[in-house]
Amino acid sequence: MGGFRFPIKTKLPSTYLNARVIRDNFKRQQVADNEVTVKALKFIARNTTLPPRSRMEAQLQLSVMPNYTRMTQIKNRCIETGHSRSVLSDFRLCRSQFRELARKGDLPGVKKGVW
Amino acid sequence: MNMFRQAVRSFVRYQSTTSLNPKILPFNAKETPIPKCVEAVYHAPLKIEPTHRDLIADIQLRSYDNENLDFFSSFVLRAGYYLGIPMKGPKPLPTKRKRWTVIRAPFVMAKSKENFERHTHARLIRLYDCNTELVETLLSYISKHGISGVGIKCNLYQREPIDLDSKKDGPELENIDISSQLQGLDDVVGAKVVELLNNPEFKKHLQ
Amino acid sequence: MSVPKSRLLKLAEISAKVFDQNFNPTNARTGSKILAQRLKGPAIANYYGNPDFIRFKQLKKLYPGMNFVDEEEQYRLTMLELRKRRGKGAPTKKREASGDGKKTKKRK
Repeated sequence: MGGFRFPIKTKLPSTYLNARVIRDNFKRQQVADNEVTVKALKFIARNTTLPPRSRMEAQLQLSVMPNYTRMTQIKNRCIETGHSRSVLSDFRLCRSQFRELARKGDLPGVKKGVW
Repeated sequence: MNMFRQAVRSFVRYQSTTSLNPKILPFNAKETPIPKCVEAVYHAPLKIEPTHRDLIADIQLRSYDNENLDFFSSFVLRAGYYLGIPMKGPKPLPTKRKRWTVIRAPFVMAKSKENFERHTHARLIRLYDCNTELVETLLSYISKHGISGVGIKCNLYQREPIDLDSKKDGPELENIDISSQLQGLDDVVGAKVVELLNNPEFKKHLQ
Repeated sequence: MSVPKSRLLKLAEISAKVFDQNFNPTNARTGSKILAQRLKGPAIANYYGNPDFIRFKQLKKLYPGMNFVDEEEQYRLTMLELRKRRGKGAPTKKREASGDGKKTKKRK
């Protein structure tokens, strides 16, 4: 194995793997690691009772943080195929995989809907 | 993954003995008299009436299958009866119906869709007039003998006296009174805020 | 019967103290919204499941005596075999007589 493609080494997920899944997984790990810091900085930046200079400092530090620490960079992906569109968050599956597994009876409790 | 799928599929449906007729026992009751507690299995679960109506805990059972749920809730009631816990229930909670509509085809053909749904049935059992140790005993017993596919959730209720002049131990900062804002939130973010504000980078602005 | 505002404020303050809530009569922006939110980190990080979940290679290593078969790998290999028989397999690598590879030539 050569050098790791991302700045910080993370474990690979045990689900379906492709480049986009690995990238998303890396971002997820980083967001989770930096969540407390980001929140604390946001709190300081939004708190009007603190002196403006310290709020400015917090905002600056927030903007300096790398993009992979931002919550908005995360995208839910299908854990079976890595597909990014029409992913049902209840099962972390894309629509076609969800349909196949549901018809097979692999998703507990899910039945064909009749109403 | 496939191993787990097979585990999911091996679904067992338990039959409740209360639906059976106690007169038609698998053996002759006159020749071999059965103990009262065994005979009780063929009737609806016995309950102890709560005297003080002091709600200690409630147990929520949830399942996608209502038959197993009824079977297990009757099991919980029986176990509670022999532990001497006054109980009420099982109260059926509203069934949650979650529905999904997905496109049938993997590609285009968006007019043809397929519907799926999942019903989550829930029962509520309330425990009265007992101590928490007894509740824990019951919980450990029912979780030990739990059925796959029935989830157990327990809410414990505790009563606390009100202390008005307590808890003035928020995080400390020198110049600015942020402690009142951080009070009551004993979480990591609050600790991080204090740590950041004590940093030299922020401290110079706080003077 | 009217109650003076100061008394209502006092009441609100005491009730906030009793129930461990923030008391903010001037509606100043304190950012408490951010502190009150729950941490999403663990849920986000666990989206793709446990990374240490056992893989097929490890299973073979753990129990060398057992004869495990990876169905998907087996399927892939049979398909490869079939393709090869039909003459659709991967082309064989060219071997150059001079010994030095393409890369060295390009560099010059």
